[in-house]
Amino acid sequence: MEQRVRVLLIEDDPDYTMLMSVYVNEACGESVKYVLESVVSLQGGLDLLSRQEYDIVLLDLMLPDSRGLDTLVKVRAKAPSLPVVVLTNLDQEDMGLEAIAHGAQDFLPKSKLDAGRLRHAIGFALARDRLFHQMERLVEGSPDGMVIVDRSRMVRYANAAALRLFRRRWEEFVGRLFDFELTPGRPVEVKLAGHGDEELSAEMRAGELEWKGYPAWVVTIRDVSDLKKLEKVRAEVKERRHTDKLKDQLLSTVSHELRTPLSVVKAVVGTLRDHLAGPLTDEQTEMIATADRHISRLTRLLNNFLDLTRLESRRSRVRRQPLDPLALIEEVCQGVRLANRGRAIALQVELPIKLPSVRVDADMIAQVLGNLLDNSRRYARGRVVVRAEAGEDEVMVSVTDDGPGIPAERIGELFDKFVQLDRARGGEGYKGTGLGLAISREIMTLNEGRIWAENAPRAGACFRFTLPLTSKTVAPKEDEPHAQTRS
Amino acid sequence: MPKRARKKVLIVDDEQDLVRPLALRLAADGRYEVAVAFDGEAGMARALQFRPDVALIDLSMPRVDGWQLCRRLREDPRTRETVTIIMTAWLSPDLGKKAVSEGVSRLLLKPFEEADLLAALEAADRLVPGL
Repeated sequence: MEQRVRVLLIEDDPDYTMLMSVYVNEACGESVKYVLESVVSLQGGLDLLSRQEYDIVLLDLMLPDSRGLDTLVKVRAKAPSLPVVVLTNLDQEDMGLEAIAHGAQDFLPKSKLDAGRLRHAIGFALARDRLFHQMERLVEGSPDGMVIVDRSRMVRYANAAALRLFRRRWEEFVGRLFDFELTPGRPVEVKLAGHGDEELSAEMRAGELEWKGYPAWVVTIRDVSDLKKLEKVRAEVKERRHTDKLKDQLLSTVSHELRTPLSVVKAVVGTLRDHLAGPLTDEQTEMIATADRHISRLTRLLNNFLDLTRLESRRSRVRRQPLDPLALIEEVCQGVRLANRGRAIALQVELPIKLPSVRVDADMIAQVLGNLLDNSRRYARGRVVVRAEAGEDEVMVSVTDDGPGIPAERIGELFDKFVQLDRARGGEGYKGTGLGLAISREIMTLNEGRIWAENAPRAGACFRFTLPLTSKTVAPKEDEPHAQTRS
Repeated sequence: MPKRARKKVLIVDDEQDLVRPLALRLAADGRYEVAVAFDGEAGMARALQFRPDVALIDLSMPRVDGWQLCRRLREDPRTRETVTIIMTAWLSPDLGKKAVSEGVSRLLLKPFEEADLLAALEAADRLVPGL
């Protein structure tokens, strides 16, 4: 692939222009071809530069319409990104060096010129230019803002990211006072306004450097808003965990402290109820019965809470054994039927003839089914249906009532602690504790099953849970002993 | 026919308000002869006089607590055969283990059902003395 280099020569000496075209032709090789165009005045050069594209400019500083470094300044202003090699006379070495300081890539003494030197100079200038542009792209493309601030706190340079972060245009920023405190070495957090509703958090660092021969600061600015948000979320989560822990501790202490006075009240009321302290009138008997019911309710609440605390802290030992789910379901339903006798709610049990063996803790699953039946009975209008079916990996049990169903937006929170929906029909002086479903969820997790709620197709709520099949579970090495159980 | 007509039960709890209805219930039951004490120290003294078959002991009491009382009963030859039942409102994780190592035969979590109390006293009978 042949490289084509377009050279613009701005030179008023026709002899020299002629000589140059010879050198340029000589310099052409197999891989590089130079194409030379020349003009005799600065104005002519500027005109060409605005019309056509070039790769490099060879510039004589002594032209009829411009003399000295001013010539270079004007060319650079016209084509800032174009490399310029300045042509100098023998006695103008200082001017050549000065030209480099003003942005020229190189200088060539006219008298020493030949094809080789020309090729070298052009090649060198282009390479230097590429390098320079690479550096510039690096700085301009950096996602971090970079600002050069001189010792008088004036902004001398800012990259694109800095302008974006400070929400300024170049001319509004560069040449103005930098209005942030500079603490070299230490990162400082600054707030930057103007980025939508929220202020932007940025980390600013300042380092020393020399800029165009003078001591200055290079300031980098990094947008750390996302990091800050993450930190904030982390702190919130930590705080919340701490609060939750305190809350749990408080609830645990309170519920334990309630047990002693409750045991006294229970014993005293029991004494009265059983006529151990003398006979009662009918009215007294009725009132004592009410007190007794509420003592049971309070006891149930405390026991449920204790269960949940133990389940959550994983202190409960789980004794999973292979068992027939049909027998378990039948037994629980039978217990409920007995307790339910004389009530208007019918319990309908629809089970298949055979179900595969499941590996679960029987007492725990009985508690879950009991909770769900208890729950459904309180919401049902006239009927609760229990069903079970075998799937590929599990047996699914469902409890469906014909009550008002669950508001869709609250299904998600149903299994949280102390959640009771006002769909309860309540009655019979019996109220739930708001912990039954939370306990059930913990139990199902420990038994590798799932539990969830949905609304039944026609009306009412449907609770489902799954029991893993014995054939799909790995038997534990040995059953862990039961922890002390509550009476 | 049982050896003794009535089983001797000693209730030790600093919560006097609980001791009273419990004692009343057990006395009314007819199968029990009841004595009471309101702290561990008094409980031990009462046990030496009364020689109970079963001691129903609260765990947290001032000075001599339930565990200490159980140990003293077990270590004294005169009360070694007394079956101990612990009552507590605090269910700590290592309670069961502790109960076993202290030779306690049963744990009752307050508040308990009357039926559970009677069942525990009933079961206490079947313990082989000196075990």
